[in-house]
Amino acid sequence: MKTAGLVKLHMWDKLLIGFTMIILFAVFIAGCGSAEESNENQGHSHGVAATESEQLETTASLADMPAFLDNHTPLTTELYSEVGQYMDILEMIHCYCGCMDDDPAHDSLLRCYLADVEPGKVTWSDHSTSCGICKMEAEDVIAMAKQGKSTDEIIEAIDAKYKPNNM
Amino acid sequence: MKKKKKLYIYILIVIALFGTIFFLNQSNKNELYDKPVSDLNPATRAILDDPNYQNIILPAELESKVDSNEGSFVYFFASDCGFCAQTTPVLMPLAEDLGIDLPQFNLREFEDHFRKYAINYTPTLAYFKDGVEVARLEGGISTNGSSGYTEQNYIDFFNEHGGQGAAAQ
Repeated sequence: MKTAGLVKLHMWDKLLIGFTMIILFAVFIAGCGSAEESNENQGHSHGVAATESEQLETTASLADMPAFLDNHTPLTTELYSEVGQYMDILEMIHCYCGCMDDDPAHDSLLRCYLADVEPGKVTWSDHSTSCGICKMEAEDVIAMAKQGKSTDEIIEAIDAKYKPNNM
Repeated sequence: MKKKKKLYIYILIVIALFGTIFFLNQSNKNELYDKPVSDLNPATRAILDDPNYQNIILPAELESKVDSNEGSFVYFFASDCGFCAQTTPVLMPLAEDLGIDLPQFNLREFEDHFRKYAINYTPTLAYFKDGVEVARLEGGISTNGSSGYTEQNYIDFFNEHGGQGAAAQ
């Protein structure tokens, strides 16, 4: 009887210790995994794609501004409120902030403001809010469009001002 | 006796588990940003160990820098901003060479501060004294002929507004 009792206790011990070990091990591995992941990212500080760092917000229409603009200046809000009117030009413009070199990439300057426009559902990106180049370019594009410049003229002017010589 | 032994084992396990959770939480909290790493923007996570982004200040420190009567420069940037990524590696060594402490404020982690400090473009280099913004340079450095400031523009800005803060140089 006594021996049987001891065996039973050992089994419990083993089970409990084994269980604890498994949990500790799993937690430890998870911890190491995330640490490794962040180390990997450091290799190329440019490597975080805009599509990963941006936050998206949907509204019902181009006239309904996303709530994230509450954190931003009147100039930023004004730009976001105007991009909807110049989508056809903005989608032809190269954004020189680096977001178009990422993988996955933004496909034009427009994408820095608007991720998707469907009837009744507009998806805004907050990428441009923290992107000096995106705002400067869009300001210039809109100003030139208001002056009546053609899309080709605008593309040329933006490339001349923002495109690095080595690109 | 057996029951007591079992109880000890249970208590030990519970302590070990809580200890592990506590330890992991501590090690997961980032010292620079005083936030858990998981709460940081992926772009911020990528620059945590970058030597050019180690002079990070948080909102309370920013306020004290702005209010300081000795004057202080502040570099407003965003971790996901390409213009900043080009500017920071030039600007930080430049400030260091001039003997200027250049605190860095990451707007991507404290987004309401865009409006609070009226930051239109990242990066923005500003000089504050006695709670007032004295001057700012909006935008970043020019690379290979693209629009932006030259190193000399930054040096001039530092020298012009050096005041007492930079008197040590």
